[in-house]
Amino acid sequence: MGALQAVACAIFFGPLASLVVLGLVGFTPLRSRERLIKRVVATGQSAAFVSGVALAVVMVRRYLASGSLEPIDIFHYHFFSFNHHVVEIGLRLDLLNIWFVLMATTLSNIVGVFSQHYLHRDPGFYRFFFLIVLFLNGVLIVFLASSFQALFIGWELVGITSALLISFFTVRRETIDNALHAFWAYRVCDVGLLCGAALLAAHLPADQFALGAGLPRALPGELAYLVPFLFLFSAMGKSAQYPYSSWLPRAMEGPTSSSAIFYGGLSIHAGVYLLLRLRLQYEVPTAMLVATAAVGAISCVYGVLLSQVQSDVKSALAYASLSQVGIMFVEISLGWYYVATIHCIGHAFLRTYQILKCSSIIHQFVAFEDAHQFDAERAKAKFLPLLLPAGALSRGFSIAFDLALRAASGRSLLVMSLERLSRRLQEGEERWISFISGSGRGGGRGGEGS
Amino acid sequence: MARAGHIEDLRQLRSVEEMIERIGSFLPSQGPLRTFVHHNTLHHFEDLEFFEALDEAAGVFAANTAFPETTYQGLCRSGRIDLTDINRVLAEQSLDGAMWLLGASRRKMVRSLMLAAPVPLTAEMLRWRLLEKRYLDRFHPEVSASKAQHIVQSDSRIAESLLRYWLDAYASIVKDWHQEWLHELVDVHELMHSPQDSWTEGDSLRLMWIASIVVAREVLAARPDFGASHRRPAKHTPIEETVNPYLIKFTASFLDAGLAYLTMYDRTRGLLWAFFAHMRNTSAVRPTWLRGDLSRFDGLRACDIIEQILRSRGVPEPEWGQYLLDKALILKGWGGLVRQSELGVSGVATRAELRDFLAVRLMLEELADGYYSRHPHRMPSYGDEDQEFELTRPGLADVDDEATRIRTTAYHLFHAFQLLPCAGSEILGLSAAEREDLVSLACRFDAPERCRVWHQAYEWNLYSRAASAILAVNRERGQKRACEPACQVVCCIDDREESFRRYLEEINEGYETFGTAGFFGVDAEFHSLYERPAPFCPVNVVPTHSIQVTARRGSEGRLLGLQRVKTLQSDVEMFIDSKSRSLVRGWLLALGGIVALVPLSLSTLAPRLMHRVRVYLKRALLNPADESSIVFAEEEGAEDTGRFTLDEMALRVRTLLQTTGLSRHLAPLVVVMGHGSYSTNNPYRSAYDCGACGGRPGRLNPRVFALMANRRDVREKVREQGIEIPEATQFVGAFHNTTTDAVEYFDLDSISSANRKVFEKFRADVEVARAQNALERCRRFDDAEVSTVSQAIAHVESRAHHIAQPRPEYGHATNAICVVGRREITKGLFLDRRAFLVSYDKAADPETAALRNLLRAVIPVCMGINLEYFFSALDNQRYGAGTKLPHNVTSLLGLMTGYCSDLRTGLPAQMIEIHEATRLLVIIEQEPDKILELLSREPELDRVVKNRWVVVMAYRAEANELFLFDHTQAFVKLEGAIGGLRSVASSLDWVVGKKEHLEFVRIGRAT
Repeated sequence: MGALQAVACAIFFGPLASLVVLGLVGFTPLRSRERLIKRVVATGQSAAFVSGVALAVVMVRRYLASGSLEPIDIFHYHFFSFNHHVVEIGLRLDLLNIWFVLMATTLSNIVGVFSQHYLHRDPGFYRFFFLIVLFLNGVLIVFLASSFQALFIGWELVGITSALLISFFTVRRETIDNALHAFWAYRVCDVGLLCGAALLAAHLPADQFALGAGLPRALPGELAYLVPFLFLFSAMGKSAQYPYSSWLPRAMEGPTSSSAIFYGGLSIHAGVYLLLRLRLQYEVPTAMLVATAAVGAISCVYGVLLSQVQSDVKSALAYASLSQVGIMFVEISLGWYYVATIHCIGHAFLRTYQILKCSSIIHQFVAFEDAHQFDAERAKAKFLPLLLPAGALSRGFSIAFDLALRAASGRSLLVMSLERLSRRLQEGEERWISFISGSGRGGGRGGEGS
Repeated sequence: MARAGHIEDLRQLRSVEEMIERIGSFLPSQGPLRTFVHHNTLHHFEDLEFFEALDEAAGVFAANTAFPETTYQGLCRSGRIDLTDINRVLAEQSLDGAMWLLGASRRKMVRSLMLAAPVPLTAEMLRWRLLEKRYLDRFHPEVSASKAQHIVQSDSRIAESLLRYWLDAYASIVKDWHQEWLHELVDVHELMHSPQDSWTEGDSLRLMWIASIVVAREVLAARPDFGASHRRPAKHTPIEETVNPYLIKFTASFLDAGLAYLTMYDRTRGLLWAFFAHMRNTSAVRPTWLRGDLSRFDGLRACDIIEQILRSRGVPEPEWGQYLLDKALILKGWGGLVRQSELGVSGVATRAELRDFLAVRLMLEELADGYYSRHPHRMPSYGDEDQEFELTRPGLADVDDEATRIRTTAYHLFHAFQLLPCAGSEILGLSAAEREDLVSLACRFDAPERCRVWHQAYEWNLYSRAASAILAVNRERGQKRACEPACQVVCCIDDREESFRRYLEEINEGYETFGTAGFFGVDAEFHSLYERPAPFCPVNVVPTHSIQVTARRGSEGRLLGLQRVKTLQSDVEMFIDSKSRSLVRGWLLALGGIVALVPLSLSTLAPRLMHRVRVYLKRALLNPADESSIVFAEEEGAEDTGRFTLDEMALRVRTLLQTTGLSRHLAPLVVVMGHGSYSTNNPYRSAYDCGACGGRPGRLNPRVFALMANRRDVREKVREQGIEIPEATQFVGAFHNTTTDAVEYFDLDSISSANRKVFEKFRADVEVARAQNALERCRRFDDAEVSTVSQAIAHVESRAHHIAQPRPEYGHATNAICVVGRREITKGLFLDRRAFLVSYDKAADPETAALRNLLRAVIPVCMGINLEYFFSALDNQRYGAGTKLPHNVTSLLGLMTGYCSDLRTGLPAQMIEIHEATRLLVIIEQEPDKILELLSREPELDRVVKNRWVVVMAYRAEANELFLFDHTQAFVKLEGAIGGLRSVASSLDWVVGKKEHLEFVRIGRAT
C-alpha cells in the first residue's frame, strides 16, 4: 500500500508544493519572471496528472481483478474537537473521484499551457497563475475530500478564486460589480454546505466517504430532510442553477482561459459532484429527489432558451453550460450515476474547448458561408421557425430576451447593499484610525514637524 | 481651412436630422471584424492641424493627448529623445537660444521645466521628498560642483532687506496650510544671520525653495489649471448606466449576423420598429423598469421622438447637438457600428439607423427615469463617483485644492531651477517685469504643451535618424549599377516585406525587389469555387470587373471532392458549435464530449503537429491553386461583361511596370508576390492581411497579374504603348504568408525550361530568406527562445497555429516611415521592418501623373495604418480595444470586453505593445516644387499633409538632399552634418539577440 499511497500523495501535494513555492516567490522580485512561474506551475500540475493517470490504471486493474476496491487514503488529520464533537479532515481516492481528479488535472494542465501563452506579458501574470494553482488545490480538495467537512474547505477556495479571477481586470467598474455579484451568489449558497457539514460533523463524526457495501447510509431522523436540501441549495449556487443563474454569464469578465476552466470545466461541475457524493453516501428523501429534478429541468429549459437568444459567444456558452448541468441534476435524481459522471466529464472537456476557442467563431462562420456559397439559404435554414407560427416565435424571443435582460440589467440590490455595508465599515475604520492617531481629519495629520 | 472646432459647428445646426448626421461622423468607423481595414481613428478631425485635432478629440472622447510626461522623461534618459530634438521643436515655437534671464535662454528654461518632475504632491509626500530624501540638503546630481559653489557664493551675498521681504511673503503663503514643518524647514533666523562664509548648500536650496513657492503662486494666479489634469473622465448617470445593458443586448441582437439561433422576428423594418414591437410584446418576466408607458411615442418618426424628449427635458435648443453627442458617445462603439450599417457596410445582416438608436436610448432613459422617480430607493448607487478604476497617470493627476497645486508647482519649479541651474537669490532678485516674463513662459508650457513638445521631439528623433541614414547610405554609394538582375520580385509595399526583401537582396545580389500596392492593379471581384465572391482591392475602389476561378480541365472531380471535404469539416464544426447549445443534441454531444480532449490537447500542446498533419492531408489530396484556372475575357464569350478586356489588361500591366520602374529592364523571371496571414482563434486575423486587398489575403491578385502579363496578346498591346516585354521574361504569381513566412507559387507549369533553373535557384534562396526573416521577427517576441533559422521557422509556424496565441505576429507594429522612390535609395539600408517601401520611378514620370495616382492610394492607406496604431498606442482604453484577453465576440461583428460592454474598436493592447507612436514620415523621391504642385491638385492629400497628419520629405537623388515640409508649409532643405552610418556585415549579425528598436545601419561595406 505504501507505494500506492505515495503516488496518491503526489496528486495533492504536487500542486500544493507549487502553490507554496509560488507564494514564496511572490514576496521576491522573481515574481516578474514568467519562465520561473511557468516551470513551478507546470511541475506541480504535471506531477498531479501523471500520478493520477498511474493510479487510475492501477485502481481499475485491481477493481477488475477483485471486484471491489478499498479507498486509498492520502492523509487523515484530526483537525480539532470540542465537547464530543470531532472534526477530522482527510483526503482519499476511490473509484468515483479518481475520474474527477483525472478530469481536473488534465484540464488544469491544458489550460495551464494555454495560459502561459495567452497571458504572456500581462502585468497580472503572476497573480493569474497563483490564483489558478490555488483554484486547482481547491478543486482537488473538493474532489478528494473524505468528508463533507473537508470538502467545504475546497469549496470555499474555489469560490474565492473564482471571484478574484472574474475581477482580474480591475480597469472597468463593471468587472468588479460582476465579480461581487458572483461572490454574493456563492456566499449565500455556501451557507447550505457549511450548515450541512456542521450538522453532519455533530451527528456523524468520522463518517468517511466510501462506495459500495452498506451505502447509502440512512441519516439520523432530524437530519434526513435538512441536510440533503441544504446541500442541494449549495450545489445550485455553485452550478448556477435557476434561480441562481444570473451570475454565470456575468462571470465571463476574466481572461478567456480562466472563464474556460471555471465555467466550462471544473467549478461549474462542483455542484454535480457534491450531489453525486451525497446520493452515494446517504439516503435522501424522495422530496429532495423531486426537487433536484425540478431544479435541473427548469434550469435546463431556462439555459437552453437563453442560450439561443444570446448574441455574444461567451454568454451563449455560459447559458449552454448551465443547461447541461441541469440535465446532470436530473440524471442524478434518477439515479443514473454512470451517465451523470460520463456526461459531466464529457461536458467539461467539450465546453472548455469551446470557450478556449470562442474567438475563432467569426472565421468559423466565414468558412461555413464560403463552403455553402451556393446553398446559403438551405444551410442556414432553421427548423424551429418553420414549425412555429410567427406570433409564437416573436413571443418566445421576447420572453427569452426579457429573461436574459433581467439577468443582465442593473446592479443587484444585494451587491448594492453589500457595498453600502463595506463603505460604512471603511468610514468606521477611518474614524477609528483618526481616533487612535489622535488627530482630526484633514491636513493636520502630517504635522509632527521635523 | 476650417479652424473652428467641430463642437462649435454642432451648435450651428438646427434640425435633429442634421445633428445626427454630424454626430455619426464622430463615432468610430470600424466595420465588421471579418474584414478589418485600418483607418485613421480620428478621420473626422483631419481638417484640423494634428495637435489641435488631438486636443479637440481628447475633449470629445475624454482621451489622452500624449503619454504621461514621465514616460518621455524616461525616453530622454534612455537616449531615445535627445536635447537637440527638443531644441529643434522649441525653435519652431520661436524659442531661441539667446540669453534671457537667470543666465539662461528661454529655450533652456522650458527644457528644464520639461525635464523636472511634475509630481502631484500631498503634504506628506512633499515632506518625505524634501526632508527624508534630503532634497533640501543637496543639489540635484546634475548640478556640477563648480556651479553649486557659484550658486552658494552668489546666494550668500543676498541683501538682507530682500531676504526679509521674501521670507515674509513665503510665510504668508504657507501659513494657512497648517504645515508647521514648512515654516520650520526655512529657519528664518539662521538664514538671516548666517555669515557669508558659513552659507551652505542647504541654505541655498532653502532660498530656492522659497523662490519656487513664490513663483508657483504667481504661475497659478495666471493659469489656475497649471499642473491639473486636462482629461475630464466621462461620468455616466445611474439612469444611463441602467439603460446600457438593454441597449447593448438589443442592438447586438438586432445586428446579429448569425450567432444567436433565435433572433428578432422581423428586423427589416428598422431598429425603432423592432423596439416598439418588443415593447408591445409584454411578458411577465420583463424587468420592472421597462414596463412603463411609451404610447405617446407611437407612430412618431425617430427624430420627432428625440425632439419631443429633448423639449420635455428642457434642454436649450443650441445645446441639443452637444447633448445628443454625449448620449451617442456613451456607447460609441455600438453607435459606430449602427452608423456603419446605416452606410451599408458589407457583412452586417440588417440595417439599423443611428437616429433610431438614439431615439431608443432616450426612450429607455425616460422609462428608467420614470421608474426611479417612483422608486427612488432602487436607484443604483455607484459608490464614490469620483473614483475611477484606472491606473493613475503620474503627472496628469487631478490636483484639486490650491495648497496642493502650489506645492506641486513649486516642487516642479524647484527641480527645474536646479536643472537650469540658477541661484535662489537670482530669482528673488528679478524685477517685477522680469518675473512676469518668467511666469508667463512657465504658464505657456503647462503639462499638455510640454507633452506636445516632448512628443514632437520624440518623433523628430526618429525622423532625423531616418533622414540621415538615407543621406549617408546614398552619399557613400557608388554609381555603378550592379550586375544584370537574374530575377525581379514585386512585393506589396507592406512594412513587413521590408525585411523579406532585404534578405533576398542580401542572399543574391542579382535579385531586384520592387514594392507596389498588393492588389497589383487587379481591382476585381473574385468568384471561386471555394470562397464567396469578394472584392480583392482597396476599400475605396469599387470593382467593376469580376474574375472567375474555375476547375482546370480534368480536375473538376478532384476540386469538387476537396470542396466536399471542406464543407463537411465546416458543417461538423458548426453542428457541434450550435447544437451543443441545444437540449437533446447538446446532451448527446456532451455525453461523447470526451472526444473533444483530442483537439483540445493537440491544439494547445502540439499546434505545429496539427498543422503538419493538415498540410500532409492537403498535399495528399490536392492543392486547390494547382487545380484551378482563371478565366479571362475571350475564352468564354467576348460579350460577357465584367471581365477584363484586352485593353484593360494591357493598361494594368503597363501601369505597374512603368510606375515601379520595372519597365527599364526586365529580368527573365519576375515574381509577383502578394501577402496575407494565417492565425487561428484570432478575431483580428483580417487586420494582418493585405490592406490593399481590402483586408483579405492577396493570394489571387498576383496570380491573375502574372497570367495577364504572360499573355502574348497583352504583351503585344503593351508594346504598342511603348513598353517592351522581352520574349524570355516570364511572370510568376506567389504568395507570402507573413505569419508563418511560408511562400507558395502558382501556375508553375507555364515556366519555360530556360527559366526553370533560375526559378529553382530563386525558390531555394527564398527558403533561406524566409527563415532569416523569421529569425529577425522572432527577436521581437519576448517568449521566443530561438537562436537558429530552423528554430525560427518552427517558432513562427507554431505561433500561427496556436489557439492560445494572442500575438501570432506583430503586424504593422513599429511602422513609421514610407519611402516612395526607387529601391536604390534604400537598398542596403537596415530599416528594421519599419518602412513601407513604394517603388516609384521618377524618370518615367515627368508629368507626375503616376505619382499622383500612387500617392492618392499610398498616403491614405499607409497613414490609416500608421494612425490607427498611433492612437491605439496613445490611449489604448479609449482609442484602442484594451487587452485582448477578456474579449468576447458578439453578433459575429465585433468584440466586447467581458460580458456586456461597449463594442471595442481600434487595436488591442497586444498588437501595439511594441509600437512607437509616431506619425508617418513619407519620403518622396521627387522635386519639392513638383510635389507642392501635385498637392495643390489633390485637396484630400493637401489637407493631411498641410495639417501634418503625415510628415513629408522630398528627396533629390542628384544632390543627395532631403527637404522637409515643415511648419511654415514649405519645403526646407535639411541642414546639418550627416552623421556616419554604422556598417554591419549582414542583417542577422545586427538583429540576433536584440529585442529593442534598432538603429538604421548599412548592410555590407560601403562601396
